[in-house]
Amino acid sequence: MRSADVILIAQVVSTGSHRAFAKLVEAHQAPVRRFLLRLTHGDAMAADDLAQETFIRAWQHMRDFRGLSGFETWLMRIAYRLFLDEQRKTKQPALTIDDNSAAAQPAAFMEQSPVYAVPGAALKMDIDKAMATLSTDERTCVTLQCVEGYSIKDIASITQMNENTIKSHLARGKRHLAEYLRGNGYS
Amino acid sequence: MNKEDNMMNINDEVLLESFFAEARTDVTDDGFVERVMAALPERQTSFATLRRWSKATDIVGGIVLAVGAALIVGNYLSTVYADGFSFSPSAVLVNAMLFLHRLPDHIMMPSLQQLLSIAAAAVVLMTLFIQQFATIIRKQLL
Repeated sequence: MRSADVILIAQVVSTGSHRAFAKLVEAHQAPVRRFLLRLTHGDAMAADDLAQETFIRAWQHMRDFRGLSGFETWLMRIAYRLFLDEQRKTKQPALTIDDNSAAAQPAAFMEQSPVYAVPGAALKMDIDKAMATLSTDERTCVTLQCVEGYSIKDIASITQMNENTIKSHLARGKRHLAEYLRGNGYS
Repeated sequence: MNKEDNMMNINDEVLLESFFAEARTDVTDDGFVERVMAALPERQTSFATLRRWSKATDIVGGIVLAVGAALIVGNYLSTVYADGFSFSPSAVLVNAMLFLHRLPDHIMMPSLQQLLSIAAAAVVLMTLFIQQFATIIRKQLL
């Protein structure tokens, strides 16, 4: 854990310093929001609502942070749990390449090509459309490892999944993603 | 796993690395920190407890100040007007001068009333000091 975080956390716990907590939010808002953006298929408003709730929960339960994992890992764990709770509440079906049911493949989202042109550059792939072909667990593990750079052990701490399960999700998720990218002309 | 499978895996890794490099975009603040701070609920901390206690001592201090002031004023009136009460300006001036003249006697041999007045004044001063100290510390930390 960064030494700057340790000092700020100590200030928040002992004195309830708003200034210290604002610095913590500033330092960690980007990875938390980026993670939730991938989980919510690029829905920036939903991701920011969840991210805001993540930091509010962190503020309320700062005394529960034991320092066994990094502070950001702890935040990601809160964010992931909030996302799962929200999914259960709204009963959103997971978009997955293996599920052929119409309900799991919203037409408006999937019918457009995932590949788009950027002036003066090579064709780009819409990341959220590509990631939407994975199951929630695969998307979570792939995002945490490939985008945020977390180790298998950290992913296990965040998601409370078994390490072997995580490895399995990663292998399957990456394979599906690579097939999808090649199938849509990404190289 | 044969050589072809290994090549496929390496190609997959290269493809995915290129794909995810684009996904690692920086997320700018755009007012997010401000919104979070505005939405924070009040939190129970040891410092918040100190603030509540300092407010309580303000109230107690105010009552003690009022009682202390009444004792001091009452003591003054009973001392200078022991021989009779007069509202004339010259009488008030003379009585004030007599009180000041006799002040060293009061200090050297204070009565119970005077001791209570001094104790009340000391408590009030301490309360004000603690409250100001707490306010300064809070402003430093916020």
